[in-house]
Amino acid sequence: MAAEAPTPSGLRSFLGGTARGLISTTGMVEQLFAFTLITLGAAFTKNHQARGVIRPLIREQIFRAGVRLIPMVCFLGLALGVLIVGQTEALLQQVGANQYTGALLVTVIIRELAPLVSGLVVFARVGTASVIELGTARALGEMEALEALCIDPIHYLVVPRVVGFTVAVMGLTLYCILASLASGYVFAYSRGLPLNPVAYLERIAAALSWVDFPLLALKSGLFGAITALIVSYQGLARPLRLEDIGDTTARTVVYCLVVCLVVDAGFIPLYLIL
Amino acid sequence: MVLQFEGATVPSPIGGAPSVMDIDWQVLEGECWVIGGLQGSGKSAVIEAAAGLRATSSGCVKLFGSDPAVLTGTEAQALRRRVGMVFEGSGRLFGGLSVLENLTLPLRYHEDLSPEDALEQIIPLLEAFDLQPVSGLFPRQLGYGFSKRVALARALVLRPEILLVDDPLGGLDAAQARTLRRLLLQLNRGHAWMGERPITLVITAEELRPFLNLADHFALVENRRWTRIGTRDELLECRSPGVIELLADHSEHPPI
Repeated sequence: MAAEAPTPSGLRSFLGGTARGLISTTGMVEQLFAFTLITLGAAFTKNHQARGVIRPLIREQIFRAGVRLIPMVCFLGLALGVLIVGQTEALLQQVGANQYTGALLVTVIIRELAPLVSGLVVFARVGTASVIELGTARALGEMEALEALCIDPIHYLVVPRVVGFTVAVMGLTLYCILASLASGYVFAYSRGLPLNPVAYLERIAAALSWVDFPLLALKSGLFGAITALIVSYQGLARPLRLEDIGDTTARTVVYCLVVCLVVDAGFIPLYLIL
Repeated sequence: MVLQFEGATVPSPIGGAPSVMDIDWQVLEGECWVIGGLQGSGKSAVIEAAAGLRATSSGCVKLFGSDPAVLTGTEAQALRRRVGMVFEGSGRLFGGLSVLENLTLPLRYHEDLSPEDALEQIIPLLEAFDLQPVSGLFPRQLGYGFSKRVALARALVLRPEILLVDDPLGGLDAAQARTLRRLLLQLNRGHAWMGERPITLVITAEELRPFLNLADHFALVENRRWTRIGTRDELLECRSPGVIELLADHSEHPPI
């Protein structure tokens, strides 16, 4: 039996829903952009204010989103190395294209997976907890309490998270790269591939260009900053009730994932041009 | 003039109808005002507007002659530092910070002091409010009376010139209420922490009787209207049903 054509009212409802979704997403992007500008404003204009309070908060965020996640990121890096380096090295060996090992590793691990995996780990482990913390603080009226004490909530709560997450994702990306390259080499070696460490590193070094370093730092830093901004925006921007916090956290997961993937895609033309 | 409302309408926190309309009100230096009203009448909205935490939908609010809504940057910050605010309930203490951290945070943020220096500065405040035994605890570990006292102390850390206190006696037993009223009275008459300088007080309350010997002036928020009642004698002579209700002797909080 042929599928029934959508009725006009069903189509109208579908189009209406899509339009509402688009408008709501546009509004959210606009507000997030404004929130980003406010945060940058607070970070730069209040750079010299309350350093004794803000710096320990930044250190705390770096510890929480960075140092504490090193084991997990290293584990993921080791797994990535085994999966990608081990498999591709064996495959390239079979087809006699060993000279492409370096280019493949640089493209897949260094340029793409390491920053993305590090960003997602930070978001999953610390970002979601931060939405709950900030949302709860907002729901309990702590923002007004900060304002009543002339303490800028953006400076006190958001700036340390943005700086901390940015530094954390950059650092974790480095650990992820090192772990995956090491495990990849060990895996390939254990399978009896004739590959000495110097040749392995030389191939990677040859495939790297100067532009990989600033773009890697920029990409991983952006993942951290975007995660912190979305998390803070979702937790703080609107007055929340305690029962809204669960939904807000779930929504934040989707936003962070989508925005990080869009930003990641945005780097492809940069790599192609540069 | 410390605080001035000029035809101000304060919106409801949840949107919709205005909370309190057409407020014309002046508070002079050193005065103590008590705003009475039943629960949900809009007292908190008025006091938050007075603190510059809530925008008015019409008219304006001036603090020390300036409208906080039009000031920005350091001017706004300087103006806000002259105002202390104690929120209702447990005082909205920062749940992730200990009592000591709650109290030292304003000093550390504004004066950029180390935790040790900030602690040294607030020791007299801890002593005056008898908070040393709980200084290491977190807000969730505090009794309600202590939470209120910590919130009051935190609002005084920056030595404001006007203190806005939202429902200070709500939920307290007689002994705790007596302690808090004594502290408020000391502040209004001149407290050592404030350098013996009398602080201007604005208090909201659901019962007016406990404040009869503390406040100089009374006002009422009822049916979204602001009514200035006057002095203690005028309050006691007032036959308005709203005032009679708020003056009912529940004997839980006898006058000091």
